[in-house]
Amino acid sequence: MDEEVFRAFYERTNRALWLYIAGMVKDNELADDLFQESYIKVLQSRIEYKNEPQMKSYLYRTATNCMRDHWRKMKREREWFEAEGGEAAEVRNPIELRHDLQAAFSGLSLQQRSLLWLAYAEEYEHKEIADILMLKEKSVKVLLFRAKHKLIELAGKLGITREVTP
Amino acid sequence: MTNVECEFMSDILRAVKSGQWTDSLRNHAASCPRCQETRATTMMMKELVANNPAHRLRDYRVIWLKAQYARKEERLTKFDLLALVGLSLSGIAGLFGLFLLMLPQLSGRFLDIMVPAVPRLSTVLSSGVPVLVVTGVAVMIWILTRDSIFIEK
Repeated sequence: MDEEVFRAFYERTNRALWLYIAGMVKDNELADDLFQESYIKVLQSRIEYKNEPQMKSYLYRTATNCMRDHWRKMKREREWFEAEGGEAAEVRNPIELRHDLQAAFSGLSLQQRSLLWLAYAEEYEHKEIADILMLKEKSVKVLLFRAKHKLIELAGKLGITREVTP
Repeated sequence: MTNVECEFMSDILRAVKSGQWTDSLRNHAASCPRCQETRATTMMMKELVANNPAHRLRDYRVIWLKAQYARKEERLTKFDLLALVGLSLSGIAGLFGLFLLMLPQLSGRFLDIMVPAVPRLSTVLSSGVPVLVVTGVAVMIWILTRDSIFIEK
């Protein structure tokens, strides 16, 4: 991918990708780092730019993997710290949850958040979501269904109700 | 509970996003619990996206340059490995040749026993070792300087 192609691709995708990552990690600084890492990895991979949807899928998959790696590293560090006899550090969450809806969303797993975000915010098809999250298309349907129920359940517990009749 | 979505799910999604409802879709959504859930979820997600603060994103040039640098570093690591292998091989060859040169009698006897058909291999080696070492060094220099000679666009 040459610089001009990258510039155009970046301008078309940067906002949505940042929102996706920030929506998952709830930490602007961390989101910035993962956002940058995702694009750098895509550029480093030397993947051939065939078409926009394929490239966008690859970008989101890379971003999801970066987030996953970050979570694993955090988990390992916590476990190591606990094994050393220290008290487990609180998961850093510098952004105050601005309202209950974010609190409900934060109660979901990373996979569930990714699924809901990609399906409902980005409007990806199940097949594309399966490609990004490296799942089977059938599994996406089931997992998405469960994620939706969990969000509604958590929102209900926090007293969030949304008008359900159009 | 079956994990199956209603067939109107994507229509509901579109209608919530655009705010454009047909009468039949509105009637269906009012009576279908699955679609009500889809609608509620879509509204929640819409709200979550809208609630994200405006954030200044990095310039594409910063990312582009960092990627170029990372790529260069990655390539240098590969070159380091190649150089190390090249150095080790030429070093081993040089030492072996030196050993043979310094102990001509031993090498002669060794060669006579092991390879009687090869005449005066030590002489061949004695002239070959410097060539081998010089070649190894030249290859190493080429490997290490290649990156700065062929600067990628």
